[in-house]
Amino acid sequence: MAEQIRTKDIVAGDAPTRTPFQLFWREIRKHPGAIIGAAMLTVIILAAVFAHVVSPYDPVKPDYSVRLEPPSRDHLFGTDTMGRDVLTRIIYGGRISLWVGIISVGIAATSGIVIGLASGFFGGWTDEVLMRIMDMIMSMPSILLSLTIIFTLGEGLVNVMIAIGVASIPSYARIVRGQVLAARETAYVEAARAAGAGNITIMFRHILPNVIAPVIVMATLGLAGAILSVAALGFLGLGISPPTPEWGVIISDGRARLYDAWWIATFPGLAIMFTVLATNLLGDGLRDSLDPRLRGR
Amino acid sequence: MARYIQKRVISALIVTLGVSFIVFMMVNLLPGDATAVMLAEFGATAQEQAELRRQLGLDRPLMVRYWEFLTNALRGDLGRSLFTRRRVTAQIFEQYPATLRLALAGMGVAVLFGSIAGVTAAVNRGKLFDTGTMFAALLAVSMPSFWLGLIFIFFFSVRLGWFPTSGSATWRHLVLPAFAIGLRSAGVLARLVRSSMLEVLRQDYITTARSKGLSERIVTWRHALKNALIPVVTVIGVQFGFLLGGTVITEIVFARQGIGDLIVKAIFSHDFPLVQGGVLVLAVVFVFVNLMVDLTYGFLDPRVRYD
Amino acid sequence: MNYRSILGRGFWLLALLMVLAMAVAVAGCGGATDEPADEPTEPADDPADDDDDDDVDEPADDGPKELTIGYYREFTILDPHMSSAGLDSLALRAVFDRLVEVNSTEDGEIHPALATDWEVSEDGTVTTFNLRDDVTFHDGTPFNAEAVKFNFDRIMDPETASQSAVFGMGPYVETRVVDEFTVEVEHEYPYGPFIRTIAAGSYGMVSPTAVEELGDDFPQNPVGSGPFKFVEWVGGSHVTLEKNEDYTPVVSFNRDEAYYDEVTFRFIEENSTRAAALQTGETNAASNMAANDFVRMRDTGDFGTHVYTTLGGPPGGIQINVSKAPTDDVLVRRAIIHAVDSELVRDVVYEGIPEPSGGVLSRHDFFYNPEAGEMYDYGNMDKAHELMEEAGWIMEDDGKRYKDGEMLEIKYLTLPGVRNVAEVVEPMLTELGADVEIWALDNPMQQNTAQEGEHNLVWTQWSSNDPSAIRGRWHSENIGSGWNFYHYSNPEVDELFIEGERTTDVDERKEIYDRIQYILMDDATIVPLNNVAIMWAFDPEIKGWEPADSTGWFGFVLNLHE
Repeated sequence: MAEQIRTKDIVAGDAPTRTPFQLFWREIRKHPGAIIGAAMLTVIILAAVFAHVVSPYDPVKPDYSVRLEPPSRDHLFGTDTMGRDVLTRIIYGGRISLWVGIISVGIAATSGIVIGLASGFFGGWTDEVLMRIMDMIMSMPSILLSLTIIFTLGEGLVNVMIAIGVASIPSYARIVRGQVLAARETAYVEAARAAGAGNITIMFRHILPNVIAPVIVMATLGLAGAILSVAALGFLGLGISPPTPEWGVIISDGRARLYDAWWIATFPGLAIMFTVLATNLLGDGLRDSLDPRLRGR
Repeated sequence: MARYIQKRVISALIVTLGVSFIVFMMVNLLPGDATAVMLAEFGATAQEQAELRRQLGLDRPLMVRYWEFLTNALRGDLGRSLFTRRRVTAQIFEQYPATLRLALAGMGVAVLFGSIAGVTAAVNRGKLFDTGTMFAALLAVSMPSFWLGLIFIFFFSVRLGWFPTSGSATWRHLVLPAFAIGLRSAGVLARLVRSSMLEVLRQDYITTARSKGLSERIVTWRHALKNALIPVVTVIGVQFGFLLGGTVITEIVFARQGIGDLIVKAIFSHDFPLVQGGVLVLAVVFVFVNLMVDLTYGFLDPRVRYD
Repeated sequence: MNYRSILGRGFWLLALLMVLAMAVAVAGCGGATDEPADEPTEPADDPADDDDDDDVDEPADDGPKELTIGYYREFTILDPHMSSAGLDSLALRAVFDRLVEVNSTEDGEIHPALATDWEVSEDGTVTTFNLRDDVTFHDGTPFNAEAVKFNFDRIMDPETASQSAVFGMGPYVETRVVDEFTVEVEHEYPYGPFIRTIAAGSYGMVSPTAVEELGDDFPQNPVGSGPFKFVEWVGGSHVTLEKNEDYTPVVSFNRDEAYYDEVTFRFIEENSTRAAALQTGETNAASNMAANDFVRMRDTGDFGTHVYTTLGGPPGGIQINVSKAPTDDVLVRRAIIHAVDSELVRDVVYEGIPEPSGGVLSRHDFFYNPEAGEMYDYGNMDKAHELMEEAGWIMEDDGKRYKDGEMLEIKYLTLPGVRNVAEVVEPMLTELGADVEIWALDNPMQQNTAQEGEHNLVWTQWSSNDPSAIRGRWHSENIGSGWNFYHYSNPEVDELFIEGERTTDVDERKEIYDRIQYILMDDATIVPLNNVAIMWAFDPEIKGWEPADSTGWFGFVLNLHE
């Protein structure tokens, strides 16, 4: 593995024949899954952003004359106990899932990068202490950790983002640290250091680019996990205040009505599955195309 | 090797200590406390609530309570639940078998389905079966387990009546929940097994075996599989951790007893001793499992020891 | 990664793991928690016929008569003095008896139980109880004055850390044993509520010998004098009780002896699952059903159904914070009360089953004042708009009301469990022109936030036998550190609360509480919603669901029969 990195470094750092992006693009085209995933995600994002255009109904206003209607032409996914259109609520719910998902992954990734860089680079006590803290976080089941954090911080989307983000920080930190440790020993870095480059420069200009790729892969896949976590917390009734139509919340509402209104719980679950599938496809494709070892399969 | 073991054990201890501290602080810093839950129905006066708080020892300084908690914990006493007044250790011991059964059953499902799917997919590489299985695996990984649990209950319990809807008494009660958590890990394993198998199958000694004229089946099962599964074993250790976490929600959906259920309820009612004790126990188990995995890894691969 | 050197190990490790996992999972199941259905049989009993209930055809078999109830939560603790939860009440009343009993269904009057009669001294500070002389505890200890003293002292003991019983004891001084079956209970000043509160489940009489012997383990092995004996409690699964063959009946409006030889409470928290268990026959009864499950079961016609409803205390309503704008203006508060169509809330959330609340007290409560409860025309949106205009809040084009440049903002605090009530109420307030923010917090956080007065509205519910319980909510001493989420401070009302507790004369108390209710409703402190309705469904052969105990929420297991 170390061999591979060296070669890649030299190619990328010296006179490249193609830009990294062009290389990337050529590679990713070999992975149809990633393209499909990206397409799916685009659809979801567009639907979420243009929710008010896509659906004529109001996601929160009740209409008691059409309570609990099964799926029909007027209401593709049926209506809930307050007569609200389920499809509309799902589309608006997508906003929250995406928003919270992206931000929490952002929090986890940036914190993870900082910690990983510091840990790998400075080593010694910094490394020990930071890694122990990462271990502590990892030794609690993430849902319990998130639960406790939400309880401590209180309600609100920001707190949900923090709760979910914190639980994922260790994975990023470890990966980054691993990359730093490997890259630190390369001749390339040693050469730079011999040339007089300072620590920060080395960190940002030489090590960071190596780190970005795995982090991006992890982040895309992590988005999947984050969306599932938001739904789980919503299902438990935490962090989201009514009448916000978060997917997990809708499922939880539908749970009581499973026998007479199965559509309320079923469709949000499918929405979650669709979105998570999309991110997984994309993430897989990214990983396969960015991992040099797997090229040529 | 000895140094490696020593180092790992010490860090495991530090981590456990740290977790106990973090959890204690978080739980006890929650605004409002258990007395609010206890008295909510009754509408007691402020004075009465303060008195109850005092009687339960909730008004003493935080560090004092932490110290007491720690020293008692080392002696095996995790305090008493504020609501049931029973020993935390007793309640945990009562509940963990159910969770353990669920986690193991889930893992059984995951390993069984995951490895079979992965192996057969690898062997049939490129064909429809391969793509189909991998897609199914991806789907499995993308589903929210609590939702899957609900769907299972709806279909298999209510509509078809094959399995009971809830509870934990017999093996029948275990089937649906085990699949609800296991399928996701099965998906992860299927993909991993497949890629691992593919890599092994390409390697030299397999080609050698083939050229010696051994049947394809022997090649697959005896030589390739054994090696392919080795990295998988370590992943199982990690997956076990995920499974343990997954039992939390599954227990709630299926109304099963278990540690996850116990702790979540305790969190909701601010039953501090129960939350502290429960999470500590879970963390200890997790750290222990990881420690074992680390040590095994170190045993298997000498390079790791000089990290 | 080259593991050639350890060829073979991985595979066996994996296979072993799999087999181990499956084996443990399956083997562990059968033994640990047994289905309660197959318990060792007891010799067949003659069905009890020394009572005057209707007898339906008895089942032909001679086996023990068993009842399995799908209960909605696990009991917290089966020690009456330590318990605080109404949900424990059903089991507590089966295992323990109390000095007096209240029949919530018929008259709400106090009936003798373990005490045959009682009288209050001239100055009102001493209550003398004459006790039954024919009662023994399950462990053989005789019930007498010493036992009563032991019980009351135990409730007051700080070591017990009682969560509810202690609060109803009032200004307790001591209990004196006069002779073997007579006790005197002295209070510092006359405490009116006393005789009613001790009918509650948390005042069950426990066996002193058992407590002394078992100490901390008593709650896991409760010993009382009630119609059922405790058998076992399997954590997370069920509690089993068996019939007390030597039971001495003490309550005139209940059966003299239990019909069932064995009763099991199975804990099934998930509503739909609990209903399903009844449908599949796994249980014979389902408690605390969700309204839609209840209606579904009722409409099949295959099941019996019963609704319990509360008696004391406002069963369900939205408290208004009178100290925070905009709800510090009584006109705004009255507008809100008019705007909330509580009937719609009842219909949507509870399928129309519960009854409307009486505001401060339940309409069934002995002390209810109709003048207060029916003061407002609930759901009259026009009147609501009118009042808002009068208060100076003008509706703008954006659908919101403004006054002096400020938008009408309402913060509504609720519990996660009743989120759906908030969801139905919110559009009503929005229509009124308010910008509504909903916070769903758990109990302790709700209390904290409400104490700080950051909210305008907060959902609430509680129960009690005696109207004095509302003091905890409305008395100014409880602002900021108790449950006075209204932040209401009215010296006249404060005075009345104290008076209401100090007199034991029922008529006097009625007058006092009438006045209290009137003031509190006139000041528009609470938006009444509905009485809590506890819905049960059960196998149609099972009868005996009435009367209800003093919480009004449950019946007596003793009375159930086929």
